[in-house]
Amino acid sequence: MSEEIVVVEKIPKIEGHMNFSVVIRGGKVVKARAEALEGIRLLERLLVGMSFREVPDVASRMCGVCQAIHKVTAVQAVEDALGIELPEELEMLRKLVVIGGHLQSHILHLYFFVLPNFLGRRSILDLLPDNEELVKTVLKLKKLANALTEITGGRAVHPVTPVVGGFSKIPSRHSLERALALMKKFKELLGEPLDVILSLDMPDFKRKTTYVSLYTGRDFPLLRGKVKISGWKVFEPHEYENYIEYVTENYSSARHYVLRNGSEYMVGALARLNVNYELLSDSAKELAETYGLKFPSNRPFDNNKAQALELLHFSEEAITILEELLGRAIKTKKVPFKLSEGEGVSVTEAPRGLLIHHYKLDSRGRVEKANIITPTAQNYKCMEADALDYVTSLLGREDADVKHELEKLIRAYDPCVSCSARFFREH
Amino acid sequence: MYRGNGKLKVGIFSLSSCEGCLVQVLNLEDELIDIFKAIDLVSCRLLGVEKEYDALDVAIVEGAVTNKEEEKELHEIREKSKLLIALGDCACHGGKFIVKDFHVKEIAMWLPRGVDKFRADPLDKYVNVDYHVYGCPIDREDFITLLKDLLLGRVYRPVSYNVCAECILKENECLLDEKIPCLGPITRGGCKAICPSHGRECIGCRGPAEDTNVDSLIDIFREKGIEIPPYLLSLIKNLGGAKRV
Repeated sequence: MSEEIVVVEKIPKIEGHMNFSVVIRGGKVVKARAEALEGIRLLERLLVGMSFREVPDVASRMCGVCQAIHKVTAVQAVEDALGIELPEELEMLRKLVVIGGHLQSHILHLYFFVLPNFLGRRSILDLLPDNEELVKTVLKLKKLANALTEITGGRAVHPVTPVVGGFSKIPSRHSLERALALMKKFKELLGEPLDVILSLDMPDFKRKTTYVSLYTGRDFPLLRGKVKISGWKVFEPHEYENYIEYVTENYSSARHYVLRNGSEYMVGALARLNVNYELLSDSAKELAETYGLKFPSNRPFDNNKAQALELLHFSEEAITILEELLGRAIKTKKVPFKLSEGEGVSVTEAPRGLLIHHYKLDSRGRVEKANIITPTAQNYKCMEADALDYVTSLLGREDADVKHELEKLIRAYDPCVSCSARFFREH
Repeated sequence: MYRGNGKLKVGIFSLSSCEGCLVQVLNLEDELIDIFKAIDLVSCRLLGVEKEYDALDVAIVEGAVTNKEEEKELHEIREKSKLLIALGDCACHGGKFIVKDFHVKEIAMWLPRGVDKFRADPLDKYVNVDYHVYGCPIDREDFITLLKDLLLGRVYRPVSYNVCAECILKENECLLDEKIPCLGPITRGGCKAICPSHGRECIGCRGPAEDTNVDSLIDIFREKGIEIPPYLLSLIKNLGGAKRV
């Protein structure tokens, strides 16, 4: 039987290095493979033996795009292990560090990576001749998003202030006022760029799958909550091993995750909206209605549009938090704690979806065991399942065309390969 | 560098890293459009730029070398480019400041895709590197300085003094006085002492300052009665290779 393998090599405009291949045999798409190519950085193994103090600094180096959430999730997991609870003000400040990171990451993905292709261009540089004003606005938005992380976290890439027990430095009242003004400016500038993404004509490809997101039932989740598997179960963060497991594939340097019932699943903005749509801000919901978007949606390409809606939601949330914080005093930057043996888990929502950090500490606060599950590692199997169906619907088209569409599908997931390519297996 | 009448042909390449240094370049929001107009960017996978080219004036390489494919890619880049720049700590030092005293030989591991051992090497272990841009992540202003120097045909010189020099100018309280084991005295500056300015010890991400004296930092620690925590001992080892540690 004739066999053809379509490979998209080193997919451009995604974070990290990945090939994606599809095997077509006798006119049928029989296999799809997400091949993480990133050099293996073994971060979990490196963490073993390190002091709990170092863990967040090292963990944040997993990814340069979503480092803020890695840092905060690592801090929270260590705090869980040591039984540390923070005052509400510090929790709010942590959210601001992370929201700055989410806004920055979504802007990078939507306007630097996704938009050029949908406008028939290769890169954001090619948008300059016809759309310089839009690019300028997008850059302004990006700068404002980074400023939020800089003010609250000390630095946009690999923030420095979140530490176990709280913060190493609290922003001054004046800085928080500045952050509030910047976020209001962000929301003001968002109109046209959002319209551009929300009016894009995306392929009408649907496939039923399972969506997994953090869930509180009270607010749109970010740093705290239980985990909800759509149509199945809500579980506590520390129970994650009962519900998800990994498979190793010899073609990939990342672990690929599935649910314990064998099903692939999707995490990310679309999963968050599918699970928590009612808790999205009113204006974000109105915007969705204006553009005829409905959630839950089983269209993977809607992940792009879900991210756009989140830009509005998260900027509004930042404004609410900042106004609230300015109304009260932040009494302490750090809570005291004692070292003890312990195990801690933190599950958060990274820009690209559910993120799990799990550490076991000995009595001296050294890491005995570390496990980190990134969103992209959880999405690989879902990408593969989508690609099987999507390429089937494209059979008969030119190879170049199929590759181009496949690339767009993978990019809709906003993969972050550096994050995911760390797995190791001891003999 | 003489470059005739045309624009500088620049390629940006990523080996194994978190790509945070490249994100720092994209975080130059005020300058980015001017940068794109001032140079002829011919390759950058993250941005989707892939033009055809035979030779480059400047190759900017981020990330560490972790396998044979990357080693080969690095050699190819070097052959094609007049100048090669190591961008960020992974490219400059192999990202070793977070790797510390991890010895892969001590643990038996199974590695996928035919990789037989774990490594994270700096670029200059394999090729000649013309300029180093230090830091994890790099400082945005360092990148602007580098570009200006390249465009003007000047030599790029990273800051040679230590983090303390910048920390003192900011009138920060010394963390060593608070008995916090800060690596500022031995670490290369240029970061504007960002960590100590936010109440955090310097973790040495820019590598050793020129003519640094690691032993004297250990003396300072002892003098001030700062207990040298094990994780800093391993950091110091990677920074300066102090014999006494």
